[in-house]
Amino acid sequence: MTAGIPTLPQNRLDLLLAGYGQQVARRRRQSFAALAILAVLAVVAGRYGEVDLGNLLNHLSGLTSYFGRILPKLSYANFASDVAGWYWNFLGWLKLLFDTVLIAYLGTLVGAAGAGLLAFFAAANLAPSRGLRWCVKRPFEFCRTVPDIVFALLFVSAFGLGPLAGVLAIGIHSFGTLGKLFTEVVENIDMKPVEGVRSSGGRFVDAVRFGALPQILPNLASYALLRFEINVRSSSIVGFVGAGGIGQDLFVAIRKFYYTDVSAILLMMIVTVATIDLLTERIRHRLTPVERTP
Amino acid sequence: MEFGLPLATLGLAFFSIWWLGISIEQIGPGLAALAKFIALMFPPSTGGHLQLFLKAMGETLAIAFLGTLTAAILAAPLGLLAAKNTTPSLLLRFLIRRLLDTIRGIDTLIWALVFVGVVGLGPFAGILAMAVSDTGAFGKLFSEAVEATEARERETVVAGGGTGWMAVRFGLLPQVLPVIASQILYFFESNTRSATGASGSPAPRQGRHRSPPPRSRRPVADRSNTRVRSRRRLSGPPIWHRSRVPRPLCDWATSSPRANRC
Repeated sequence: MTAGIPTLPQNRLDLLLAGYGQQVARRRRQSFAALAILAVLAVVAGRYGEVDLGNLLNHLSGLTSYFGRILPKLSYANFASDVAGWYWNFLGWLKLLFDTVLIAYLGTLVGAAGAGLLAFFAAANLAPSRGLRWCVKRPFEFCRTVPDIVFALLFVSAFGLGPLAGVLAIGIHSFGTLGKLFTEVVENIDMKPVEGVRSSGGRFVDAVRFGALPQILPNLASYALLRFEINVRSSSIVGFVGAGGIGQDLFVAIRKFYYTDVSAILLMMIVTVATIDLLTERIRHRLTPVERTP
Repeated sequence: MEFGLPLATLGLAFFSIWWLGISIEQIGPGLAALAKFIALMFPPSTGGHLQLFLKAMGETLAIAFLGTLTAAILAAPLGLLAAKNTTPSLLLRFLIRRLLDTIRGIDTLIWALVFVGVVGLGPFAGILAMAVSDTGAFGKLFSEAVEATEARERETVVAGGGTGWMAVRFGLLPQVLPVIASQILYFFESNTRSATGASGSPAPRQGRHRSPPPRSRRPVADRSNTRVRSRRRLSGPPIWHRSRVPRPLCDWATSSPRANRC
């Protein structure tokens, strides 16, 4: 027995189905148009970027063989001495890695301190004046547009080789990125405490200190820690241009084809980065239960 | 207790300054040198290399666009495989996650160096480097987005007789697509900034930066070329011989946009 589902008369049904079909077709057309535009853009970009898949496929073995070559030759028979030979400069690299982490720490601190001071002047809801706000936002933009490695190049030629250039480069880039994030955090606060302070005669500084800061401190700390994670990666790179840290040794190893050194240093870097990621992630989750991805 | 954390932070900062051997005396002369450097940058001038710079800018955009796009495509399945609610197999999830961690732990610039060895100098190496290193980042972000979705919609699809793939397509994708799209756009933006380091354009840029006497202006092409060639000569065959070997000798007089890389 067929269930008595009431159906519409056929002509009405056709009308509705046609409408539905049209809607679906319209969405399909939109999706296809978007895909086509994307494909065209990709082809144009491919021409500009000199994409040569044949070249890649021909030399793909180069990639695997590169990773094959950087792997150390470890034998079961004398495993310990093989590992010792692989990590012949373990203590030296460990010190350089420590340098790298400290460079990231100092850079993050410098950037976070600067951004934390200026973010209140750049936030739409707190800024004392529009002109001042504009003046603060432009440096933020400039500092985050220029990649830290470019700053590092510049500072190495100004301050000489060494970690100072790396700290400043990372500090200034973090200043830009954190400035933007901090400003957004400040703009999202509940304004009632600020109004309370102001209505009882508080100045700008009071409003910031007692109205805004208590609300956002966990968020600021969370973002600063996130930046620290990112900076540990970048500070391992600024050494490429001579700005301190393990990057210098890694660059030399890559350029001079000390294959096993490359893998040894990379492995240490990956372990360090993963450890710091894990630790800061723990702290961040504790600081802010629900975090937004920046 | 209230001052414990700030004090520890400051203490660690001073320790770092001491450990890294940063001295205050460095800063004064450094700032002076920096001011001189900045003064030399004015007025901004392309020095007749406008075309070269525009080409390099186009390459940068192309690297960021294709790199981000490829990474997003590669990361989509990896993100599903790394998410708890779509991949029941603990082992598979563990392996994929460690793979993503490893990729992320290596900076884009290192990937660029590796790929320059594989496909030769040029923006293509930058695209590949950015694609691979962002696959790691996207994979993690996508898997987090997938894990944050509601299970009900997928269950509805399955309860209505849909297959697993249908559940992903109609129950999962609509939920994660907006999140993923915003992440991809954010990465595209930030990659446009950082692609400058990944390949193409630094050739002229590094040449400009590293020449000690900023007044004497040899053509950019000339300088970066000597660099690459001498490096190739010094470091011997192992990697470079595989890069596009038959490179024509450049005519220094022409400002052909390709000049910076032959």
